Amino acid sequence: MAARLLHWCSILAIAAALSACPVVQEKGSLQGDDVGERAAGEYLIGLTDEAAEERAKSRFAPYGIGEWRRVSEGIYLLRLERDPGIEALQRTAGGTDRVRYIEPNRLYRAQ
Amino acid sequence: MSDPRFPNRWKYGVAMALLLGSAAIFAATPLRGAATQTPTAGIDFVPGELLVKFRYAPETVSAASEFLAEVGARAHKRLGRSGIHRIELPAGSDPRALAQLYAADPRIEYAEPNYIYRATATPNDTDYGNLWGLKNIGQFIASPVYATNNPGIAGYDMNAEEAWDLQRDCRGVVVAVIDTGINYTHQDLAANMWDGSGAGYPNHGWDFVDGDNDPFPSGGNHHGTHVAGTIGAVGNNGSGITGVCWQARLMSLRVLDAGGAGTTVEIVQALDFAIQQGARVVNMSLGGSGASLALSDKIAEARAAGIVVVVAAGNSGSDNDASPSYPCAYPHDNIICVAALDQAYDLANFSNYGAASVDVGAPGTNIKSSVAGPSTGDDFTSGWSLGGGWAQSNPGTYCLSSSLVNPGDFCTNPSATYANNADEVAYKTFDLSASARGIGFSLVHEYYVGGGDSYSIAIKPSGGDPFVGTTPLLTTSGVSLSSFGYDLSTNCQTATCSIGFRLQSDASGSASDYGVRIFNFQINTAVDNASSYTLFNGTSMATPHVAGLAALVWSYNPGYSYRDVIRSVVNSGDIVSSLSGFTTSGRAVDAYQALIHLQPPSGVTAVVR
Repeated sequence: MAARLLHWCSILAIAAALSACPVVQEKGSLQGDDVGERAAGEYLIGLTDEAAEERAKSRFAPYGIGEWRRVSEGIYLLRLERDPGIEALQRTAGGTDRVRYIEPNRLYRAQ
Repeated sequence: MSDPRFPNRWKYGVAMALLLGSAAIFAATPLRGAATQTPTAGIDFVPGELLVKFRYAPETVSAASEFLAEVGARAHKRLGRSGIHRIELPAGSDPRALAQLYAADPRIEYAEPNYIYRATATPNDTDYGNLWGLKNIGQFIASPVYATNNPGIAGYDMNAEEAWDLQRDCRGVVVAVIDTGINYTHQDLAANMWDGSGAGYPNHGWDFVDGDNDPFPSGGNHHGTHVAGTIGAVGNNGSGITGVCWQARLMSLRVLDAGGAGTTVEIVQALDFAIQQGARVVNMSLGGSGASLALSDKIAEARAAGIVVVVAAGNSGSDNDASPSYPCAYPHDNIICVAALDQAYDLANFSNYGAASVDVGAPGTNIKSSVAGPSTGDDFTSGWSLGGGWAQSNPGTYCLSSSLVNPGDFCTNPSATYANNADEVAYKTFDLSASARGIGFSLVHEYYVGGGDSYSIAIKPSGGDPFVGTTPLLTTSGVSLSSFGYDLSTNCQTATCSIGFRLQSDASGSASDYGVRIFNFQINTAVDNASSYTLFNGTSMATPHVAGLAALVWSYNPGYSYRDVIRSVVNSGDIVSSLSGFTTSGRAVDAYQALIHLQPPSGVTAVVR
């Protein structure tokens, strides 16, 4: 018999707390966010030197910059119009040592 | 052969040693268990005094004089006809140690320190009897949201009343609640909110979701208000509940939306705010499965500012060491990660754990606390327009509550699939025109929607089919069990707000087209001067018990560093078998023990010659 394999205790916890349990996967069938939910097309760029902002920003221009704004000291939000994926972006940013990291804008939920 | 005049002569030497101040051997307080509160809970006693009742009546002169000589009594007085002698001991002696030494002495019925008794700090809040996490007397929690171990076991609690004898006021420590926003007008919270007006923040914090200065839960999400109540609902005000702190300064930093979700960006900004505005404890009852350097760096900045960050372990019932939940899994030493315990101090069945990543346990089931306003549930039995395969389903083998489903036999047949070439809508029109400062809806959905098909949610302020002339709030496919929520205050707070669901499928079916189930549908409101309370479960609910305790400890010991606070909170609690091997400490937090926890000496150097 085919199975719906969602975690029943998680369902109970959600029902009680109106909070979100992480998705429990049916084998091999979930969308590719199982290493962490994320805001679509959004990335955080960590710079070692804020003076490098314009140069870093220009590297991502080919993908269409929907939004670029300073979040905190040395941290910028980048929203792309055409998201090539994290690996391509890391390659794009790899040419400068002023970019400490580029990572998806992760999603967190009330527990 | 012993001297018959001194049948306990051997004790003489020991008594002398104790009189010389070797009482440290009694420093450790026995662990509390079910109904086994130790007498050391009221640890205050008159220094240098021992109360003794001799076994033989009338007391023999020899027994009394022997004893008095052994302990080096400076004076003694018989208390009326009680047969009890109050004995003044030499300076520096420890009455507890002597009482224990002579406990089995055949000459003595009992010996004990002259304990000091005070009125126990029991608050008069009307719902206090439901707060088992603070005082567990084995009470049954009515209308529970967690059935296991209800009632639980008396004594399994945070030992709050004993702690409140020492400290109730946490106003010396600002606690930032990074969450869905606090209803700062709630009757049990208004007096305990952080006053940021002097710094330009008149509404007690900041809203990083909407980007304004009002962190009110406009979508009616109750989570942050519930968390805040556990930390610092006004105590002893004759209504509602009390927090771990009776008085507090709660800073509201809204980073999670009406659906309880937020991103790294909002959380990083909230931590910046907390650091800049002087918070010393941060509560983050949230989590996600992806690591972020930005968030990790910001928590390190909080550490540099001396801030304790208390976070939830997560609700997926899994091992955080193997499947990390963040921020719990970050290694920073200013993080306390909290698992949830039930009323018998078993690990809650939803609670994450981790021998290396989760630090302590705290009460996290059937937790009653403040909420933003009234909520109205809907069981889909009336007023719904059901098209195609949509149906209301009573609880069945595969559904534990009334649900809206497609296909109609979702709850009874696990192999059932929805139709191909379907475009089917279910919706209901609600009158949401009644005055509420914040309003939204929340639900839990479980869906299995195959490739080429989609499941959508939409709203429409003018009523009718919400998918006509609107853009859906959500269109998705795949497999998920998650919650969803939406803020209706800006565009659907009308007399005809329709909310609906749509299932569209292509011509080809797949083996995983099991469909959609929606349950726990609620209209949530946030109202001014709210007086609502409800029960929630979650590691989110365990976390604020610990954040409140951190604030209490810091208020009691203002000179502590963040490390001192964390050591006191984490290392002082009760050893709990359900946490052994599942947390770093194996302990459930104990408020009283945390307050009196002795810090190991630091900065001590020795010169070896």
